[in-house]
Amino acid sequence: MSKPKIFNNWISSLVIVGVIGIAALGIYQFGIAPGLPEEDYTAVGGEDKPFEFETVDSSSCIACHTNEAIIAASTKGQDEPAAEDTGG
Amino acid sequence: MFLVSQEFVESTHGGLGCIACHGGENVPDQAAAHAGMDSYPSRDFEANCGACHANVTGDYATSIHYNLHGMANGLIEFTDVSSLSDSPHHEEVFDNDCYKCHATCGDCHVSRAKNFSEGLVDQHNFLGTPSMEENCYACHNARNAGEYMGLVGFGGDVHYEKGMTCMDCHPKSNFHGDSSIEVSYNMWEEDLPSCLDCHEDKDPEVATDVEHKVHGDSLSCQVCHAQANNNCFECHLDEKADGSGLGSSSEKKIMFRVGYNPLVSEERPYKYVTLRHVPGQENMLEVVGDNLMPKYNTKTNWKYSPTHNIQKSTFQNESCESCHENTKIWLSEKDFRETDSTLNETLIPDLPPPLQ
Repeated sequence: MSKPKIFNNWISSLVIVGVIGIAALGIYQFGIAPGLPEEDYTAVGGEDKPFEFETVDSSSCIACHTNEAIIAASTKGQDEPAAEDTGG
Repeated sequence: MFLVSQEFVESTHGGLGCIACHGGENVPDQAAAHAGMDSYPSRDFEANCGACHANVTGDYATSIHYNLHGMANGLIEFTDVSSLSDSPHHEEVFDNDCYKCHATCGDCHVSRAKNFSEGLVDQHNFLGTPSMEENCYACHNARNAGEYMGLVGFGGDVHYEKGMTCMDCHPKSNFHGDSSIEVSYNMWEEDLPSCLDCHEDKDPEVATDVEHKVHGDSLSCQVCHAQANNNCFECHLDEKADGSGLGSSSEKKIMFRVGYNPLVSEERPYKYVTLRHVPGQENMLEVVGDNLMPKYNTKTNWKYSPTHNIQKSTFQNESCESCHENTKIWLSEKDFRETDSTLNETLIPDLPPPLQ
């Protein structure tokens, strides 16, 4: 089987292989496995590791502390001075 | 005061759940919910913050915002001890008065400082860049931050008026610490900002204008461009009226004085600098013991002041005469008090040469 004439020129061959490769990557990224590349994590303690903390259920805390009426009724801190000159 | 926003609840830190950092119990009863809770989790910053932010917490013990070595060493230099722990009296003074400015992560990134009525800056949202008004000013109100914002003295700083904050000039290491730096006395060994970092064309070696060329390295930038600053005299430590510990008080005076540089260094080779009188007198600690400042006269009370209220035009740079022939701005014996260190005399400058 004879090869297409276009492959007689090595530059044309290179361009065609490149175009096919880019098209294949595009089909994979957007068609077969869409999404962003895997997240990178900041090094912690010398190792790369994901955010490993689980949520501690604090729904009771949130229920009160996001409620303006409840917090406004609190007397906590009312006897504190508005600001103190530290001399600093 | 302790209202938490929905935005925080949905944030990464909020997603951990309040109890993850503060402890306590997830129950509806208020008393039971708060039992054993820690309102100040960043006190243990290595455990609570370091799990994710080890790159910051690893150095934080070297930060003078945390260890207050600048204040501690400033106190030690008047004493005959080499460490506060060697003297219960000095340690008591430091712990009762100076230590209230000690800060950890939450004091800047979440809350207002304890001495600034506490409370949250922004409904518990974590501020990557702290609030200059509610965090920096909380501790530095009487001098640099107050002067910078125009709240102390006669006018603010041109950089503040143009929208710049403390963090625009000071590198992160000034706040978070840098374990590669040995802080022997105060923060002068830190990587501090320099006016020439931005105003390169005013470096005397390359400046083309006569004012910057002729004065060379003789004057610090503040001598011409700072305004009057806040000076404290006659500081004394006493029991607080409410019995809650020790508190200091002093007399304040807005002044502008130029004298010899008490701290000549390679970075600050200037002969003349703006000075600031810092609080202190020989018997200021008598409430806790006698003769606690035996080396009082080996240090000056007038200190190098990188005054933070810069303006391009000031009363002393209005004309050549307004500085050279203005004897009021030069430190003199008239400025000294009986309670001052005798070493202050070494800072009285020769008056500038008369104009031709």
